[in-house]
Amino acid sequence: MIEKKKAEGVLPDVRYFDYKDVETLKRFLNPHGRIQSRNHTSLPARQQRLLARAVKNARFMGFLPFVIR
Amino acid sequence: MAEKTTHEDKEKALTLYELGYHLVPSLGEDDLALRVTDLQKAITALGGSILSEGQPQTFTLEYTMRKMRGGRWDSYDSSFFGWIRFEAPSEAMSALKDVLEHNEYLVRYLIIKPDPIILAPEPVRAPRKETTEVEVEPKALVHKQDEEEKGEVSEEELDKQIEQLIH
Repeated sequence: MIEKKKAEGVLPDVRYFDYKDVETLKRFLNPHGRIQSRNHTSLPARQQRLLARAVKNARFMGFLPFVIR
Repeated sequence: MAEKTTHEDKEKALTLYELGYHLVPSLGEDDLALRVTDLQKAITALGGSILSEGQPQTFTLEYTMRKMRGGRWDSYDSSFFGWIRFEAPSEAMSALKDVLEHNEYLVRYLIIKPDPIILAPEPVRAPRKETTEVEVEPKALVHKQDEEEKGEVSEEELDKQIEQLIH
């Protein structure tokens, strides 16, 4: 039987991704401002989609840069 | 008859929306309040009801935004950002977007359908259980003891072994 690995401490305690909550969103970006993959975020698929949507909205509204060089 | 009423109910059904907006930074305090009330009026005029809002505050943008005003492009590095959470019929949204598009004081706006979970109070969480001590396997203990026993070698024996190795 394959046991699912739980990444305790890595999983963030987030109920809802708000595009205005920049500090939370920044935790899921790499140094270049790109959204980290599910391997890194350890988020469920639905949460990952919500995160991606929130980051893209935040970029559009000027809360986050599109690219960090 | 019953079908008609359900159809009417659907038409009147209100959806939760959130409008985020950037107003031009050149506005004075009085002007700012006026522009915000304009936005509120636009929402209520279309059958919406305002639930909560965040007052506009100066905000430094992460990148320069451009907006066509009076036939020329204006660039903005900062703005007044505010948000309004409201309920409105979905049919009214296209009309609201038209109003916002023609508002010359808006640099940019975004309408989203937030998760209704944001209106619910934060759940009270039970305190975390204390972590139980990890049991060490007896085998590992035995190995350690053996190593410790082996480790107790007198200095004379050590010297002899070293000499043997050298010669």
